[in-house]
Amino acid sequence: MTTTIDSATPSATARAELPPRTRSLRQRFRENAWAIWFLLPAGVFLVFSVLVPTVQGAVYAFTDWNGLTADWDFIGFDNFTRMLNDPFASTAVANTLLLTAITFVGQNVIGLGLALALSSQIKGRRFMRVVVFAPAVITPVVIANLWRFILQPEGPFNAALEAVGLGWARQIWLGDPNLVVWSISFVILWQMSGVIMVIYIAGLQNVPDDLLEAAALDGAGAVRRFFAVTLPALKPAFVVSTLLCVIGGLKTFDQVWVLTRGGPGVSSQVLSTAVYQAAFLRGEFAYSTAIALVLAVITIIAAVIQQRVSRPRKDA
Amino acid sequence: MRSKNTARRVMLAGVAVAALAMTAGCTSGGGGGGGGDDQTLTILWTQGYSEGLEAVMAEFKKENPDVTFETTYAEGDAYFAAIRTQLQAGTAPDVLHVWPGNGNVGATIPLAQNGSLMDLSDQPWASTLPDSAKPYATYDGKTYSFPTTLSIVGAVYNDEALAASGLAIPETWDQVIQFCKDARDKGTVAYSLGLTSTHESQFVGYALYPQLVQGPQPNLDEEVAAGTTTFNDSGWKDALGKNVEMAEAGCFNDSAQGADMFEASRILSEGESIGMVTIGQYMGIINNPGLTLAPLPGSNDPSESKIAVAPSTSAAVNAKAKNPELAKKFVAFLATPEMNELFECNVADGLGSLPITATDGPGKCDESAFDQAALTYVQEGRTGGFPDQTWPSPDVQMALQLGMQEAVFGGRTVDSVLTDMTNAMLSSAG
Repeated sequence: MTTTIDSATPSATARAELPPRTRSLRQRFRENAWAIWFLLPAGVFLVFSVLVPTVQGAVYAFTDWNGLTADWDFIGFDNFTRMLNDPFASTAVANTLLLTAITFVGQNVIGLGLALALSSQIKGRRFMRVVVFAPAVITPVVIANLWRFILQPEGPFNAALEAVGLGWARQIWLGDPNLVVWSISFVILWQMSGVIMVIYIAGLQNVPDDLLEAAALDGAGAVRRFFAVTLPALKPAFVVSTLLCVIGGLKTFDQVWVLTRGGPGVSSQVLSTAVYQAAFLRGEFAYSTAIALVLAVITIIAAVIQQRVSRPRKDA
Repeated sequence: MRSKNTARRVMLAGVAVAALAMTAGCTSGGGGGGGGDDQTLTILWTQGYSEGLEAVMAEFKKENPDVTFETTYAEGDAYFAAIRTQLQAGTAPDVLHVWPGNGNVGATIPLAQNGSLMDLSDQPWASTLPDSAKPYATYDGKTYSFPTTLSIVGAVYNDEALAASGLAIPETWDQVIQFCKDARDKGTVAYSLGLTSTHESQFVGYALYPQLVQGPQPNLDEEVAAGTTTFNDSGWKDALGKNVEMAEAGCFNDSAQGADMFEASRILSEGESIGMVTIGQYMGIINNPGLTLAPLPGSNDPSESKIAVAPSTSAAVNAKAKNPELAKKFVAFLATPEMNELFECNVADGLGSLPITATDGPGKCDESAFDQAALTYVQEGRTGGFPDQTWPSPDVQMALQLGMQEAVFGGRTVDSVLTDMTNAMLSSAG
């Protein structure tokens, strides 16, 4: 019996059989060079439109650049120490963290609740999923403009409260400094909970039915089954939703700007609106980049914590 | 096999280079950075004055048929962002809308200080600018902008609502407080207010500024900047305190804290309030021709009452204009009395503003009771300016606006607002 050995075959087979680490860097580069060519345009774009401006901005944070002229001087950490004493910026940090906390908890609770409800055998569940998710596809600026009208003191929201006998609950939703951050959070929750719902619906598909059946046979009630079987299985979905909620909350701009411009006063000012105001309404570009840098650091810390907490534990 | 791999690599490299070239093509060109020939004029202007500008552009084109205009409009905060970023990037149009004087990032003086505007001192209109307008159009002895109109801040009354209430326009401060109480007794409200629009919080202060601050202390800003006094020790304390007093007397609509300028304008327009302390630019939004202008009295002597009148939207030329000669020609055209009047008449039908030459007499479209009242005060010299136009940075006005948003209904004290304004003045001057 004659076996014809193709000159390429042994080396290809041998290469395929070798574990990845055994192949040299040069071999791996040659195999994947074509991918690098495809990544090159996007990489160049990323460097010049994201990385270079980010580094430039970080440098300007330590200067007194006014955004117009080429003259500027290094002033060290003056912009950052100014933030500590400036209620405009310090209130923005506090509001950003509060808004993020409210939207993180709210979106997960509401999203999970909706996912559980609309994953049951309830009639019309597919239609309801579309209805709940629909606001998320509309740009936040449009949604915020609608809610700004709805939440006017004489607007439809207060009128509806009055109509159902809850006139005592009427509030100045966007003009009361004690309520305004909660009102803005409500608008964000109304729009974005549908996204989290979809993530949890996908997660619920992976909950093992046999485990649920076994738990039911063992006498576990619905609540026990939820906490013992369903919730642990939803951990991957929780990781994704946490990342979206936290980063989305930290960088919220559109809803705050359209609804209140950070007012009344600075009571709903967040870091992203503070960056915008400092740069474009006050002409303090260097100060605005310092605020932006603080926001970036907070976001990085949040992402690192989230990654660490969601990392699978190694068994002893 | 080797030639097949090589061909494959060449093909893939070609695709990648083509993709890179397409990306580079997307990022180049475009923008508002001037026309490609000397007959294209690029303009950046505010949306609210677009009708005035369009009317003048149409007349200019009749005399210069080869000229093509490329106009970009923006409004409010978007305009500030556009003008600063475009000037910094070198892509700003030839002709720019700027604000007169100082006090905001798009105003004549800070832009001239940074070398962003062209010196227009040699233009024929520069020597004929009214003396009252010159401080707001010049920097370091040179002229940089042409102020097109005068804007007005005062108390505006809905004639029908006033007649229905049976009340009279108050002429003293005590009458203002009584007017507010009487309006409530009659089931209406004296003045509409929409505090969620940031600038709404400054108008009572602005209306009282000529009488209570500028008149008695004309050099206040310099003194505060020098550290020899504070805003707390000035007429501002009285002016802003009166704003709070009005709120305590029930002068404003119950929804004031949650309403915006559009809601406040609607309330006045539909007669749900009798009046509103506001600026002339709102007349287009209020959209009710039956309005009367009067000063908001700051004392019990009617003869001391004044209205605030100041130069408004101004035209300037980009220092790095691609078409400087055509740009200067257009601004000079806009500055002629006929075109200035045409511009003013096409902005809200001329209601709420006056031509820059108002001291000489009314414009063609200033026959409304509102404009006639304003003219009377201008010609009698019973006016003052807008305070922000002489402040060294936007921070002072922002401290006033943001502070009064909370202070009007007792969220913070007037003294704390004035302290913030003083600190902002000191840091800007320093």
